Amino acid sequence: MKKKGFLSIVSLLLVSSLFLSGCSGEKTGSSEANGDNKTITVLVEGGSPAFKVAKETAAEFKEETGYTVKIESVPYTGVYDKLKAEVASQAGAFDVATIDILWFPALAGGLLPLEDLMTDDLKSDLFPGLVEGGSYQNKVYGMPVWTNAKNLIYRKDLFEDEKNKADFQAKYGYELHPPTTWDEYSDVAKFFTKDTDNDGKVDMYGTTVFGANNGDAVASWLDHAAQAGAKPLVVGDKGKVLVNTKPYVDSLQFLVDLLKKDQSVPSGALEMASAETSELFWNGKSAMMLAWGHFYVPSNDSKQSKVAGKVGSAPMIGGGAGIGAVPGPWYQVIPSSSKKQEIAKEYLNFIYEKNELFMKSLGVAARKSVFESYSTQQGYEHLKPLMTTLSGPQTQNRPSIKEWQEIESEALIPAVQYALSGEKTPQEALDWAADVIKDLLPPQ
Amino acid sequence: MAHMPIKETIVEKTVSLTSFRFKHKIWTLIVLVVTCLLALLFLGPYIYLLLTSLKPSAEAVTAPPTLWPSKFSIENYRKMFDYLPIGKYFLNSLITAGASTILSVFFGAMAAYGISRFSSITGSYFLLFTLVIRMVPMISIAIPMYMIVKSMGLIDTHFALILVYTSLNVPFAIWLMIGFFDSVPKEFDEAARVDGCSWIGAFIRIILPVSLPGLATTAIFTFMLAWNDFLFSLLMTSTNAKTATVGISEFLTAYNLDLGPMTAAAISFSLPVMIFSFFVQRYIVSGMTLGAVKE
Amino acid sequence: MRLRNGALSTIFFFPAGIFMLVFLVYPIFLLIRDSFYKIDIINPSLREFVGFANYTNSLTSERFLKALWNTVVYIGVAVGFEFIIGLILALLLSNAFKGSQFIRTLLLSPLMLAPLVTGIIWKFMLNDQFGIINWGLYKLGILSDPHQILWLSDSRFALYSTIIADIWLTTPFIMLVLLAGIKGIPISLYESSDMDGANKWHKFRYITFPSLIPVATVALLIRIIDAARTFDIVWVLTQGGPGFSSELLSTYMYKTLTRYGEVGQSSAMAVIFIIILLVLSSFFITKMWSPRRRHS
Repeated sequence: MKKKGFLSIVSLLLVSSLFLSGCSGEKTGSSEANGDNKTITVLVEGGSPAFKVAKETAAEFKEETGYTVKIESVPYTGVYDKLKAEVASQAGAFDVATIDILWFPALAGGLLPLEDLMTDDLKSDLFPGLVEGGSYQNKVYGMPVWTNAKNLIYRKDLFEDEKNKADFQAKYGYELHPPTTWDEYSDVAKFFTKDTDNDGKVDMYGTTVFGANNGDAVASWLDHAAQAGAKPLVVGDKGKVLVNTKPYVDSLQFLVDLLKKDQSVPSGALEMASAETSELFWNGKSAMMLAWGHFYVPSNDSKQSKVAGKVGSAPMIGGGAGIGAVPGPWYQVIPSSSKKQEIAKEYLNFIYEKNELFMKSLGVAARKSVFESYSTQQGYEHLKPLMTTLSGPQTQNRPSIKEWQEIESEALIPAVQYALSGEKTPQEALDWAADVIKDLLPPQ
Repeated sequence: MAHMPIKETIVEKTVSLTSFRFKHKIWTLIVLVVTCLLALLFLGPYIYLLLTSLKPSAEAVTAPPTLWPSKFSIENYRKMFDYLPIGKYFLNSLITAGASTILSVFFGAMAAYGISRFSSITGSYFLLFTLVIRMVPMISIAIPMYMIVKSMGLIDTHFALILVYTSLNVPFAIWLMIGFFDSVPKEFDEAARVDGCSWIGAFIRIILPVSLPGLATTAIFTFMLAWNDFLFSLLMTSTNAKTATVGISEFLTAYNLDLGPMTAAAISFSLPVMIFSFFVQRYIVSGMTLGAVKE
Repeated sequence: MRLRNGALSTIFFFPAGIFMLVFLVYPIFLLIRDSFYKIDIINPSLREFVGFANYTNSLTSERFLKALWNTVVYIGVAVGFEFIIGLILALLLSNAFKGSQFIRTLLLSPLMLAPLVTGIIWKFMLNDQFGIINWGLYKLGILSDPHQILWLSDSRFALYSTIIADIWLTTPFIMLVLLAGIKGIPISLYESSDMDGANKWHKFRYITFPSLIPVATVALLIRIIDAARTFDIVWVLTQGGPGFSSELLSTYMYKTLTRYGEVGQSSAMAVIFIIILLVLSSFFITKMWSPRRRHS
């Protein structure tokens, strides 16, 4: 009998606690709404430069404005997932977030337009395409924090080696130097691919081809498509699907040739993206890599890289239409559900003034002035080539349409993978992708 | 406490019953060897993880790969503490997983007992209902659940995760416990009822203790489901109640994977559960009592 | 008597029911409602009733059917192997030899790691450049080239590689449940069969196995449902690739919901998923269900 009483008390308590906490919770919610607590919540990717900068500057921001900065860190995709939940629920859980350019179309509906922050002074100090990348349907939603593009990072020691120079000259008839064109890139990659310990297995590669199941592989292929003359990327005016036209097919063929014909890259291309490529390079197993510009910094850090001190950086290679790359900038945004929009805007300007800190922690930033002042400093040799890449004639953003993520995962990633695995020829793969994309786009 | 001697006498009895002692020894040897081989196969990845965590940080990813560290180092463990308030995350995991395990096992066992004993049509429908609920893909209901928690004002509290984990694990606990209650002879409750216990009294005093092996098994798994959850912790916590799984995954950033400190965190993360399950699973052995009582 | 029992089981069910009602039933209601709407990705409050369009879209799309087939293969192969290996391990460990408890704890080690972490570790172990598995097989002379098997990037193997990781991760669950079941079998049953001179196979065939059926049914049912919902491991290992070769319904639903923002479409998929799962597990349900009826 006693037990029975005990149990019912427990369940009663439980049920009432649900209601009680519901009430008290609403109270805290409303006090937040009034904005009388002086904190702003900033959502960043854990361990990212945005996280480090937010942490370093929190004390100063508090001193200037009286607001405590509460930093909420989550893993990469978590930033997107949480913002998505925020947009859906309008809960007002964050005041500022730092996001990848890729997420704008999906999140734009829940973000605050920032036109008033975009002064002419500010715009003129940003790289071309950077403001546009943070916009959706002609409204600016993002304040750039850093920009980036893939650059050529190579083994200086191998390129400067006298024996290599002589051998290369003899074999290809021109001088060995960091490649600037597709042909040179293939030649150099073939030249450095060898079996260094004579066990019959190749253990040194020229470079890598990105084919992993993520957007990195698509961005990498689109770099080359742009170099071959693609502009705009993938979807043209009035929803015209361009993906099975010549520049796209040629660039995919270029990657397939490196992998299948020349075999100058690791065969597991479908597992290869930025992280794997850089690990391979740092282990001294490849002579070049086309990697995000700032990878130059850890490549020369002996704590991470076995080839530290032997690494050089050059601009992205060029194709028929010149140098081209797909930038990968990050932005700060304010959810429109934020209850402290004014102070959040102040925070965005505050961080913009501190743009230099991103250069220090990551090796790239958003402002031209920061790039210029650092480009002459030791350890930042990658900046000049990166500036060349970023102002390349074919450098351009991925299309800012809400179907982009679906196009990327449903059509482009599989198409790249079909071609790289040999299941389809590049033309077949891209014809297939074009059909899929036509279905995904709204009828014109 | 009394279980151990009982177990021993039973083992001895079986031994004496076997006429061919030699054959028995061979059999034991085969069992031992096969078990060890299989155990090694299952332990392999864990050992690899452990050894990787003890490598110097830069050595975590190499081509070609290595198994043994070139030198043992606690660099990864130090880095782990530098990067994240990992101790706090562990504590959060422990609180939320622990509390939700107690709640879900208790309520789950209650519901399962009700269904197992008073198996009416109602009970059957409850069971089917529970099953359908368990079939729902987590991701599909995560955002509505987030909104419910939000409207209760519980975002970023331990209480939110405890409630959510309990709800998620109760169906699991019910289904697992039913199998165990079904194998407990009806005579047990009847005896208790004759002794003047109420149904609930019989449940708590007689049935629960007798079902300890089942409870322990269920507890281990509900604990692990909560302990290993990623999705709900990601959505419903921020700085206060963030659990270790989300913390650990922050070693994986957009540009690189810091495998070294991540392995250190993963190993540290697994130790409490390892210890917990070592103690809890002793009760499974005590399932022997059932047979002993019957004798 | 029937009414009384019904009332009693309701009382016992009540506390658990409250939890499920608040946190699960209500969201499921929303899920079913959303499956009949087309919801705008940018502005979720813009919704249009479309009837069964989301359902017919899914059921007629090759993409969905492929993911469905993969899920069925995944469940069949993974749960099949997990059950067989789990049963063998449980039988071995039920022999109380010195150190058996220690080995049992060690065997649980996969369960101590979050599926997400498991995914990352296996991804590295299976990688063709940095992976210990290909390298080990090469050193043992089983492979002639360390890059011979592209576990995760060959569309023939990708699905099975994720299954291997899943088997590793969850066999200990089956093992422990079956072991508890074996431990619950009364010793007296074995003793009487010893008198009859039964050998080990007979004991297994006529005592252990039949006694295990109730526990095994539940274990299988739970595993089938959980295998169908597997997400973290597959997401980390392959994200469904290459070229959808390891795409499961769970990863496809995740992409549709969070990446593409198609709430209605993914809700319809979830409902279809639940219905299919009910059909798949109906065999086990009837097994559980019928004895219940008999009692009342």
